[in-house]
Amino acid sequence: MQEKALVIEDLCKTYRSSKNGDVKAVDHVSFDIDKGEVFALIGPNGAGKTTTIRMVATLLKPTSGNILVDGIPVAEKAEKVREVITYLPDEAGAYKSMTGIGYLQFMASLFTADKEKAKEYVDAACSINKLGDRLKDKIGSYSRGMIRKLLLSRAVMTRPALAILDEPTSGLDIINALDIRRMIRSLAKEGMSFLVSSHNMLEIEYVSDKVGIINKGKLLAVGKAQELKQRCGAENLEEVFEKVVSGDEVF
Amino acid sequence: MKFFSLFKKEVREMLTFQTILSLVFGVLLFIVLGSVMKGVQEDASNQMLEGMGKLAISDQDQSALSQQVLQQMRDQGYQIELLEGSDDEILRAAQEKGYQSALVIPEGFEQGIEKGGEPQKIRLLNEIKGGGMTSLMSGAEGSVEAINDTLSAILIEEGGYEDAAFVRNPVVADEFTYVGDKSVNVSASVLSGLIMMQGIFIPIIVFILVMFASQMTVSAIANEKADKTLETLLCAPVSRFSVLGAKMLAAALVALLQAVVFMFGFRFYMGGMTAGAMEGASGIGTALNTLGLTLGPADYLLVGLQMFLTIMIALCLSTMLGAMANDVKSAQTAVMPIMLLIMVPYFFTLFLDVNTLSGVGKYLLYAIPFTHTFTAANNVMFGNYTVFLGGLAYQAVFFAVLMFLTVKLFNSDKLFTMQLNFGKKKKVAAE
Ligand SMILES: Nc1ncnc2c1ncn2[C@@H]1O[C@H](COP(=O)(O)OP(=O)(O)OP(=O)(O)O)[C@@H](O)[C@H]1O
Ligand SMILES: [Mg+2]
Repeated sequence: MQEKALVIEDLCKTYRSSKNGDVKAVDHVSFDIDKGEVFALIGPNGAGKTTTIRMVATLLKPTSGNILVDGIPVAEKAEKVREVITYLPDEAGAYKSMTGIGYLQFMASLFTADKEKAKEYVDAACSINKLGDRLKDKIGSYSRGMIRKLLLSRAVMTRPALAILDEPTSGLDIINALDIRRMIRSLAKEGMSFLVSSHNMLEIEYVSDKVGIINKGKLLAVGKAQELKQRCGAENLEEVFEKVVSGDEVF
Repeated sequence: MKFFSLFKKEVREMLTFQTILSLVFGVLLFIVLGSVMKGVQEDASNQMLEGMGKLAISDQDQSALSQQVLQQMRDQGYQIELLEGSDDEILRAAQEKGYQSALVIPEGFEQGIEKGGEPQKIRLLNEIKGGGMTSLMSGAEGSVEAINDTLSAILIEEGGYEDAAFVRNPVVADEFTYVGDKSVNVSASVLSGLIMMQGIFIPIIVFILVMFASQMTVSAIANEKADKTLETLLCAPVSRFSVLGAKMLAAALVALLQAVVFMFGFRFYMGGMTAGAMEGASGIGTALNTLGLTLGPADYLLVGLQMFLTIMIALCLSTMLGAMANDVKSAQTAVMPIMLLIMVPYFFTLFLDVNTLSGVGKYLLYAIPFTHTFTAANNVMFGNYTVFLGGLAYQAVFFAVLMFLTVKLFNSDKLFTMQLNFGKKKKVAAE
C-alpha cells in the first residue's frame, strides 16, 4: 500500500491577538497529497496559505486537527518530521556573506553528518540550479531569481519525502518562473512530493497535479485543475475561484 | 558535527566589518571614559583639600611645641578633635566621629624638631573600605600639609635655624593604610590606585563582553528572522538547543576576542596613568598581599564563573528580544534596555561602593543581575564573600530561569505569532 506524503485532517489555527481579537486563519481544512504529486494551495492574500504551510513545516502548532507527513504525526514527532521535509519560506533570503556553494554545503551538513552524502546533496543542488560559476560568488551579489533558484535547489537536494514551497515563483520574471516550474515538474516525475502555494492561479495550472482553493481560512474546493474547471464550466482557475468564492458552486 | 557547522557559520556571520567598526568605537569610548575618570579623581581630591578644616589628631607628644601648633591651627579656623589610644583605637574613634583619617603626633616630636636636620614623621592613618572611586579618595595628605605649614611658620618666626629646607618642610607623613584589621605602611592613594586598576579592569572586560555579545546576538537573530533563514534552520533536522547554543557560543567567543583586542588598547592607555605610582613605590605588591587585596587563583575562578553567568544572562535576554523583534531596526532598539541594565550598575559601581548605599537604592541595584558582576572583584578582594556568593546564586537562578524561557520560546510557536514592534505602531496587514 502506498503511504500518502501528507494527510491533513480538520486543521484549524487561530491567532490570538489582544488588539484585533482572534483571527481564525485556518478553519477546518482537510486534504492529502499522494507520493509524487504536486499539490498547490491557491488563494488571495491573507487566505491562510502560509499559516497552513507553517503548520506542516512544524513551525506553528495547530489549534486543532491532525497532520501526518509520510505517516509521521507532526504533533508528536516534530523532530522526525523535520528529517523528511524541507521548507522554502516565501521571500526567503540566504546568508549574504556566504557563497552559493558555501550555503549549500552548510545546509547539507545540517541534514547529514556523512561527508560523502553531503557532497552528493551539494552536487545534486548544483546540477538543478544551473548557477555554474556564480556559485562561487557571495550570495549578496545574487539577483532575486538566482537566490530563489539556489534556495529551491537546496530545498530539493536532500530528496525529501515532502518539499514545502511557499510561493516558489513570487517576484520572478516569466523566464525564471518557467524554469522553476519545470524544475518542480521534473522532480515530481522522479517521485518527489510537493506542497506549494501561490496566489497566481493561472500559472499554477501548469505545475500542479491537484489544487486546493482556500479563502478566509476555509478550503473551498479540492481537485485536479481540469476537473474543477469542468465542474464549474470555467475557462481557467481564476473563474473557478470567482465562482467558488461567491458561493455559486459547492464541492 | 552539525553543531560545529552551525557554530562555524555563526562565527563567520558575526565577524563582519560592522563588528570591527563597533570595536573601534568602543575603544574610543573608553579612551574618553578614561580621561573623564582622571578628571573625577582630580576633582574629588581637590574637593577634599578645600573642604578641609576638620582634623582628628592624637597628640602623643604633649609638648609645648605640639600644643602650640594645634592652638595655632584652631586659631586659623581648624576644628580639631583630640583622640587617645593605640593607632587602631584612634582610627576607629575618628571614623565614628565622621573623619576619614586620623593623625598621630608621636612622642619625641618636639625633641626631633629642635634637633633639626631630618623632617619629623607624623603618622597618617587611613582605611580603604571598598573599591568604589569615592571610597578610595582621601584628602588626608592635605591635613599633614596643614600641620607642616603651621609648624614651618612657627619655626620661621622663632628664627635661628640654618637649614632652610628643613624649616620649610619640618614634617612628613608616615602613612599607614588599614584594610579590615590589617595595616601596611604604604600610602592610601598609591594603594587605591592599584586597587582601582584591579577592580576596574574586570568590570571593563565584562562591560565590553556583554555589550558586544548582546548587540551581535540581537542583530544575528533579527537578521535571520527578517531573511527567513531562521525558519529554514528551525525546520532542518537539528535541535533547537544547538541552534541557540551555537549562536550564543559564537557571540561569546567573538566578544571575547574583541575584549582581548580592546584590553591591549586599554592597558596601553592606563599604563601612562599609573606608571608613576607603580615605579614610585617598591614593595607595593607585597603590601597588597599583606592586606589580602590581590586575587588568588581561586578568586579568579569565582570571578570568572560570575562573568560567564553574566554573559549567558545577557545572551539569553538578547536572544529573546531578537527573536521577538519584527525587524533588525526594532531589534537594535530592543537591545537598549539591556544596555541600560549594564550601564547603570557599571557607572554606579565605578563611582560608589554599593555595599555602603542605603536601603531601597541598594536593593534596586542588587536586583539588576549585572550589578553583582561589577562588584564581584571588589567583594572578593575585600573578603565580602557572603555578598559575592549571594550575587552568584542570584545570577545562577536568574540565568536558569532565562534559559528555560528562551528554550521554551524557541520550542513554542510564539516566535512566529508574537511580534513586538519596538517603538513603531503596528502596521495593519494590507497589500
Ligand atoms: N503572526 C500572526 N499574528 C496574527 N495574525 C496573523 C499572523 N500571521 C498571519 N496572520 C493572519 O492570518 C491570516 C492568514 O495569513 P497567511 O499569512 O496564512 O495568509 P497567506 O494566504 O499566506 O497570504 P499571502 O498570499 O499574503 O502570503 C491573515 O488574516 C493574517 O493577517
Ligand atoms: Mg503567505
